[in-house]
Amino acid sequence: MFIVWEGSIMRKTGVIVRYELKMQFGRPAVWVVFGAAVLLCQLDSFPSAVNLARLEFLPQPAYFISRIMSFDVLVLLFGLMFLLAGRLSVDERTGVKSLFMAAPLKKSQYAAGKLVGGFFFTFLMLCAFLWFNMAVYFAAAPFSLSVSACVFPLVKACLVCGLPASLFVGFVSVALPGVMDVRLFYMLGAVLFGVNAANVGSAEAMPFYLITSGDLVRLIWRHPRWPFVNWNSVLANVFFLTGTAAAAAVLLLIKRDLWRKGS
Amino acid sequence: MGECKSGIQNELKIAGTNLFLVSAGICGAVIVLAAAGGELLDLYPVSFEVIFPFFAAVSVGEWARTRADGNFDLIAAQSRSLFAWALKRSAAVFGTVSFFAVGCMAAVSLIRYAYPLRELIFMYFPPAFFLSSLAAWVGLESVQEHLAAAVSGLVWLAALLTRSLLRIRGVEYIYLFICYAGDPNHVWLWNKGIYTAAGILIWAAIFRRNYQKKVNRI
Amino acid sequence: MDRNIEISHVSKKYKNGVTALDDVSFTVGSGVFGLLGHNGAGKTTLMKALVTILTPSSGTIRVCGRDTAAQGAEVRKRIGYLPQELVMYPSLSVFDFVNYMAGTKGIRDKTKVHEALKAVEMEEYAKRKIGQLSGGMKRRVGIAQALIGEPQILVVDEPTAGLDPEERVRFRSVLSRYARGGRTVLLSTHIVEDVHQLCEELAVLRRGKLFYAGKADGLMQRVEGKVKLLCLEDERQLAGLDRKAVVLQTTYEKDGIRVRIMDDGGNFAGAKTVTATLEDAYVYCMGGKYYA
Repeated sequence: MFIVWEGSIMRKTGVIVRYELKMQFGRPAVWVVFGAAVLLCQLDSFPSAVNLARLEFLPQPAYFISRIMSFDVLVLLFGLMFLLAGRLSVDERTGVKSLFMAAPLKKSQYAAGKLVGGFFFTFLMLCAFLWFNMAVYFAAAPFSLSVSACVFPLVKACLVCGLPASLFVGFVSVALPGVMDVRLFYMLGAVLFGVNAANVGSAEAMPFYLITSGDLVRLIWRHPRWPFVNWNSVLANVFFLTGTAAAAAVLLLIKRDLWRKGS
Repeated sequence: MGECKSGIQNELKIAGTNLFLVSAGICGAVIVLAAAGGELLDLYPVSFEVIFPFFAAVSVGEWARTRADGNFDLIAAQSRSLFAWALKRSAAVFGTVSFFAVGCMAAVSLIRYAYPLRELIFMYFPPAFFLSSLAAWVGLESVQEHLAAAVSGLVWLAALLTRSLLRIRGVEYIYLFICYAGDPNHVWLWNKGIYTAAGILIWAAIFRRNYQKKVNRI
Repeated sequence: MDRNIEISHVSKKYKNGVTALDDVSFTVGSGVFGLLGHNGAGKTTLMKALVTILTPSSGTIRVCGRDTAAQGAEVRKRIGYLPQELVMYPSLSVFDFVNYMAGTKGIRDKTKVHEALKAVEMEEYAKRKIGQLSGGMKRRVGIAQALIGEPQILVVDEPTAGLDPEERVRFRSVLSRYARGGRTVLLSTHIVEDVHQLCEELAVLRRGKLFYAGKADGLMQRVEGKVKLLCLEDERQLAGLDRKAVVLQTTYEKDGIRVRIMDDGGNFAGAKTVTATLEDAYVYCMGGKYYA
């Protein structure tokens, strides 16, 4: 009985997640953002003669992945932040929220569906971005590459960096516009992303508040001159990303007028 | 003139109090940063060439919605000029943000003087005008909410990320945040002029795209 | 007789001081029940309280024997709801949207979705995007999602406002068919014709208070034999009329002004008595003065 009940709870959340993904992937604006990020990535890291001369370690697939993870993924995530920011308000505007509230659906199921939907959407887009650009790199490289040399850092990037970054962007972008003015949220996001964009790598431990260029990315590739990993900084980076995501989710769940009264 | 003034007032009423509250909040944050930030922070370009122009673009994209406004069909069917309406709405919001930006410049100059106010305005206005014009144009082209702010935001972030392109000759004339990047070749006035012209061109394109309806004289 | 909905001394006062409902009490049995009232009478507030979106300031509402405040989850398993303002997600197809709503009710069987679409004659448009539908079709999709799961209570708020006559007839057919077999359809509207065609029982709200609750015939009996038709020459005569009778309807014609009045005091003994309609009774409830 408990398993059936649990299954039913997860199922309702799963329905919301499924349709969030469907609606998001069907938006042309998502693919415009994706295209812009891919263009920027190729301009910067395509294995052309000019870029190979400019970037000493570009022939290394792990370096390629860590580079696009540090810079170009930011453009993708920033664009997705804007597109995810309206997921709660669209339900109010279309009148669908009153249908959700009149259904046997709990606030936690609704919120979880929206948040998890945002996370999976961000993660899948990020993975698609990384895999697509790696495929172009593999196909266009004027030097020989093994598949395993490309796939292994790719998988590491998706799991080690991509998961926490997607959790952060997915949760925060859906939840925070539900608790504050969306314009203020954009400004906070801009400041964070701007600081991320302005940060360059160094031998010192990277600040913990970097989304994709913190010390987590050193787990994909390390500069030969700085081969060490500062595990405290890595953990701080992970905790910042996941902790902020969790805090955003909690803020949304405790918001009183998100749902019907007395629920 | 009176009609224009009341039109602007109406547009600000539609935008609501949050425009003023958030603008004031950002102002306050920059002033606090000026007081507490220390000498290491390159405050003026970061605040007035990077942050405030982005905020101006987001404000125009979000508070000066045109096609995404629920009453767009009503206005399109009944207004004498869609271009004039869009211009008035964008100008009201951009003007408000710029007012706060200039006030912030004055306050920060009192705390930590580095540039004359005139220069700060020249630093701020062209990127703000260009990004806001871009947001206004996208807002008129697309019914999707948040897309105008997203496009301006992407251009803004891409500009921040591509600072290394300044090594290529000529890029300094069109790099959006030239003062922030240090203006190595002292071309900032040309740069600002180009971006101001780009903003004007965007508005000319908006005008030309048949957004002006001619009034039939009875 | 079991009453599916029991509304007992329900009041709702908003934070801005507006009293939307003031001590409203009535019960609803099976069949189609009409909730009439002018704009701002409190119909939507009452409906929202019934479907547990809103909490009354005082009073209780019981749906199928369950208190909406204490047993909200149980109540929500038994209701289908179509709100007044429903735009839906324009990018989803008809099938996807109804399936989505079915999923939130815990219904995974896709045949139920097809059945609901078939009931509202939207099955052939299942793959069409919501954004591409006409207003009437969108409303049908709205009803389809409310019908999913065959809820005991169907609550529809102004479902036919703005629809063409053909759509309205179709809607009435769907609602009356659904109400068979012991189910309740609570229909909120200010279109009296819909109530006249569908409802045996009704309630009338006026400025948040219950004006009448009971059989439709009972309401009409209040005005039976008292509705008269007058032909006036000019506005001056019309102005003088207000002091003597409740004006139900005024129609301006080429040769004068035709007026339907409620002659409570018998002041117009010589005027032609006409058959009272439910609309006459409703307008009388609202205080009269319905102008063409």
